[in-house]
Amino acid sequence: MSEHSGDGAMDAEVRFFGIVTASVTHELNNINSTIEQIAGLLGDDLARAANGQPPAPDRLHDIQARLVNQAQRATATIERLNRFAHTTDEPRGHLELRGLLENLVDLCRRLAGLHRVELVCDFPPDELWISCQPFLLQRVVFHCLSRLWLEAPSGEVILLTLERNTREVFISICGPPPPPGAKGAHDALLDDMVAALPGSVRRSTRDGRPTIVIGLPDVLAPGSFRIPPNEENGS
Amino acid sequence: MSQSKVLLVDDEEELVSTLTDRLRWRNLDADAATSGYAALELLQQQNYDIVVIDLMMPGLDGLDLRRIIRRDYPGVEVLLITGHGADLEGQEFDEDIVGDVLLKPFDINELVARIREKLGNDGRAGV
Repeated sequence: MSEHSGDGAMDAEVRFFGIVTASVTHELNNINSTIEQIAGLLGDDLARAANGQPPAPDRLHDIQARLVNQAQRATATIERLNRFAHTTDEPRGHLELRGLLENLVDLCRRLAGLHRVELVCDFPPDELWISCQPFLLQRVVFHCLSRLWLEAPSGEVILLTLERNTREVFISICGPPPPPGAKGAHDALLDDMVAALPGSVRRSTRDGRPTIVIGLPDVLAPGSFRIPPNEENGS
Repeated sequence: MSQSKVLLVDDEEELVSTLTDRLRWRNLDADAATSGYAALELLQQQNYDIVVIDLMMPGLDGLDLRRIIRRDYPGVEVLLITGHGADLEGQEFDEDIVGDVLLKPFDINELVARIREKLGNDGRAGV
């Protein structure tokens, strides 16, 4: 079944959502396991205290700080997943591109790491608002990232950058040099997804490194639109 | 009677550090490594009785590390830990791996029991 249309496209979207969600639940499970063991460490100290060896105050402060750190880590992870999930609320809308991409890259770091690849973002500091399809755009970027990290040698870096002019913004995804003899297959799925955004896709090479540049129109000028309510309350 | 020597390998630094502390308090001589490569370096330097390995790690993953240990350190026992049984689906591995897996989160006493079970069957001292 083709991923380009109909049920195939729906299945591909669900798979994408499942991959990201599974990775996050794995991360949360690790955090939960860590919290349980740190709490167990406190239990061990309490058992020693019952035998006349109370823990030093610094020790208790250290355990408390470690628990808080893990809880904050869980909160940040849940917030990232929540932001991602809410990009399905509306098929199209105003979105802050830099924040969307940073969130997606954060969600993908663990997956890239399992393929021994590091993701690096080099974005300008200013917010960048566009009108686009947020979930499809994330699918496009994830598609590019995952193809690069699947083919990348161990220890490599994938670099994402953002550039803009008055009318368009360009997302550049620069991957590591392909293995010797590798022949890049035409990526018709990417072309179709970008066309549906709508946008443009250009493939080039920078310093021998394959680079995909996705062009998106509909850059929104500051003050030209109202930020949608669900962006303000962070739900 | 010497203590059993345990190497814990997990890229979750806080988790592996805490587990090491807790095992030491339970009379196991435990060390920690946060990557498969770091574990191999320690294995070259010291004699471990058992290596407890997280399945899903960046770099050298748990299954690859297990294969290397079984090949290069055949006397060392291996126990895998993982967050989800689904991590094993689609993987190619020996049929005996089922008995070598412990799911997270686990109670520390369950970990100790599994370690003792794997070492005790070989009659090693210190367990």
